[in-house]
Amino acid sequence: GGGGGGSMASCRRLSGAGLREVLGPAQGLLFDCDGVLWAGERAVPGAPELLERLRRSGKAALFVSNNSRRSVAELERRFSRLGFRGVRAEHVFSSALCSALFLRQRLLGGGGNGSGAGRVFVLGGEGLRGEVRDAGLRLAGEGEPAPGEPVRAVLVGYDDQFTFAKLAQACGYLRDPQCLLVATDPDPWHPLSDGQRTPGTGSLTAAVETASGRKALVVGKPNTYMFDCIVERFGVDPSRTLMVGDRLETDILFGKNCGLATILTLTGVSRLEEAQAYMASDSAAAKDLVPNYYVDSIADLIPGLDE
Amino acid sequence: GGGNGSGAGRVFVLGGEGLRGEVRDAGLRLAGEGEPAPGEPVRAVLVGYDDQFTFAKLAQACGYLRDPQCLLVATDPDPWHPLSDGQRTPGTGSLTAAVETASGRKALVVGKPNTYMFDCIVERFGVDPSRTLMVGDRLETDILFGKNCGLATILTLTGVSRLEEAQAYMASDSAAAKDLVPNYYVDSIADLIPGLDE
Repeated sequence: GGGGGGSMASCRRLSGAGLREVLGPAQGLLFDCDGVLWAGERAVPGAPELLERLRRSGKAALFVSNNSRRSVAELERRFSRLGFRGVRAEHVFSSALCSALFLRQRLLGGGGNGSGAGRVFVLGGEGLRGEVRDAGLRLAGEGEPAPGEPVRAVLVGYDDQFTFAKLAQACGYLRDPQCLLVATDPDPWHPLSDGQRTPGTGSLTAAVETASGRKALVVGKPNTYMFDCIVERFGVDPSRTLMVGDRLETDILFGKNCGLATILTLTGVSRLEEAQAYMASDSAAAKDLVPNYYVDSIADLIPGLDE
Repeated sequence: GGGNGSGAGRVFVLGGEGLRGEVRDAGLRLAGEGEPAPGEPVRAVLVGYDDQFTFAKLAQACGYLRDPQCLLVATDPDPWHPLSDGQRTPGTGSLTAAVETASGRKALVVGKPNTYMFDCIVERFGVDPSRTLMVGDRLETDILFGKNCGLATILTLTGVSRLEEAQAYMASDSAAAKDLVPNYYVDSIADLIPGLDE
């Protein structure tokens, strides 16, 4: 079958009859975005057509991204700009959105307008800050704090304006053991279109953890909180859902942790050789990084769908 | 160990003027200073206490570290330091953690508790470890350094570590914890005075 039955496969190329066997029973697919649907400002060739074919086949497509730079509203515009039709903000689960939801639960108990909940010190850009505000939380550094409104959480995201001073400020808040330390995602670095790399949230989190002596709660993949958000909103059945991603240590492990069959696409970070090395490894942890299937690009999934 | 540095490549230093000056005084050229000579790649990234650390500098360091021949060196592993007002300042160790994670590389750490600084001392002064005492305030650096170098150790309580922490390490089952237990402690190094001849 598509979900549970296919979970016995290890690193098998999906093509031909296998493709129809795996995609046929699936009710929906979860897609990572960077390196799967697009690379930089270029859509992966055939990716918009794949989503269109999924829609016509009556299969759901949802998106789960560790990228904490953009609000889901910005992501909706990005999908459209890159040629993907019909993707709405409600289909997109970014680590920025899910971190805000996580903080709302922990600081507000899931509801309320934020008064008395304390403030959040955000290390990140305007996309992340906006999601936190939209969740009803107040940001440290914005306006005069009300009396008795301490900083109740430090949220580390992708912060290209990160400085030593902000690191020190975060550590000051974290002296209070009641102040949460949350990170949007664990990604150590990301590839850029010119072959260079940019540091990821994971590297900034490592600095904050070391300087503060605290451990961060990490919202993003491979942890399962973002799947909880998806299930709460859309009621997804893991045994009928496939996870498609490009990074073994985040996307594939996330799929494994959530009980989803996994497909590695080779248009992004991880190389097939890395998956094969994990497969050959003796370590039990390495096995969880092996995808059930792989494709060169998600466009290769198109023949597995009905006309 | 010698020479005037030409052809040795440059060093990208994350740190202040004190650190940069020591690197120059050692005959090395710093990246970012003046026009690089042709064929003068960055051969090392040195992470020190850099209160001007930024994301951009982190990214620049990672760019140099794509070359596996480029060394990654950290001055010390200290995660944070206490300030006189009770606050804390992030330490080199925290900046090194960011560089290691973003680059996928492990740093060679010069400072205590690693023994390289003792090698420097022995080379200059020929110290006999069995006749030398190490006095420090931080169990995880000073006391462990003493242990690693074969020195008897004295913890002074005017700094970072509390006596309770030393006692906790002493009570621990872990072999690593034993190495963090000082041989002796004093409230302050002034307490050592009566131990010396008039």
